[in-house]
Amino acid sequence: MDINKLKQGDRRALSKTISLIENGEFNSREINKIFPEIISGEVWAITGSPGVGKSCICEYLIENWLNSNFKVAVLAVDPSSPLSGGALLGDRIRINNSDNSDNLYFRSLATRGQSGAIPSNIIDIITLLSALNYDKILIETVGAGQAEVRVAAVSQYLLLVEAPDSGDMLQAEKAGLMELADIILVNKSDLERAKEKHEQLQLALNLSDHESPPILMVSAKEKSGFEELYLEMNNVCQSNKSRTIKSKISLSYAWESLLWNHDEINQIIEKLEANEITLNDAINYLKEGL
Amino acid sequence: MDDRVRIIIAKPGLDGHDRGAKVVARALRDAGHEVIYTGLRRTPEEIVRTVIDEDADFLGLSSLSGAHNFLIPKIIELLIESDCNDVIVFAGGIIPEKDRPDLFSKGVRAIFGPGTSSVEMSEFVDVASTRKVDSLPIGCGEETDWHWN
Repeated sequence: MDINKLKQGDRRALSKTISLIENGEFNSREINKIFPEIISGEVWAITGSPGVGKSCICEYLIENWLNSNFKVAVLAVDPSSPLSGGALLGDRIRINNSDNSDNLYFRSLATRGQSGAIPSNIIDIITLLSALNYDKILIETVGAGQAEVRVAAVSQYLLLVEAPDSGDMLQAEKAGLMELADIILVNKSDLERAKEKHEQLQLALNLSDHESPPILMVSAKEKSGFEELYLEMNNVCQSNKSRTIKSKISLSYAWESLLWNHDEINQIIEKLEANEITLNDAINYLKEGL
Repeated sequence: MDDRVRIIIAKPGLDGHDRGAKVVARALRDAGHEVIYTGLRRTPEEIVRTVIDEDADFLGLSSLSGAHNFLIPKIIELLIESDCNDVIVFAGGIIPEKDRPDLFSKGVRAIFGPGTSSVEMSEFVDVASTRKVDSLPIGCGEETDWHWN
């Protein structure tokens, strides 16, 4: 790794360093050594079920930020196949401006299951991007599984995207995403049933004890409702609102990341497999070392 | 150390058919690799930027339109300019036998035509990766006559 090139903002050095982070060979501690003063970028996550229009919305957000001369980084997270460990990362196709601006860095990340380091090391990637003065960091992920909810929770702000007839209100509630969202978007507002979706969401939120996030209607197809969205995003950033649930998830996420990056994790797993130690022993070892 | 490799499958130029590229992407995914597909009609500059941002080990270029003799060397030239000598380039699609020696000499390490099995492609990826691990020349900007077929 070439630290000087990295400091100068060389894209290839940045990419190589992100790969090292993905493989668990580089972390925030070392980043902090190279960059003693890091001002955190604004980290947004955008999540929602497949097909609700996350990528189209990303495209507008990116365009809006680039037009305002911000340096933008996008981390598009896709699941790894549990069978082969491989992954097909296709978000670049849908985001047209992904490969033609110097102010935009676009990286696809596979979740790699628990044994690998992604997504648990995404926090370190965010630190690195912040160190390199990326103003806006956008994480795109399918809000379907545990791992994805956690990816969303490491961001400062969360946009949850819904669409009419996506028919999975319950899914969103199950995953606890609605409680985490800072803004809920109903995309495809040009469709008839969008209003209905909006009402359903409002109703669901009214039942909850928590302070509810704003629900906005947008149409990526007709490019309508985005001015309101940008305004609301600004409001959210300035409100400095803190939320317990999010802090809890972020903490457990960071904790898990510590676990999988533990020096002796492999030995401990081997011993567990061979029934040489109990789970309790394993936890004590993790705390105190083998 | 992780032996997963990152592979970009790209469609340069004006060619609008990508069934083959998608099948290849899928097959390499099933072989356990992380595959990024760029989508249709990318310029050489866009493809090189994607290779850089994604830290790809391999770049697979699919061409069915007959522009391979122009586009593929152009992309390799840009990769070398961008200090990506070590990226392994392979090609597929409709590339006539007579055009192949020239492409090999310019740094393409394998050319897969119609009828290639996915097993063969994945073998190429494994063999080429092993060469890289052993520090043997294999990247598009490295000096070697080695090619797969």
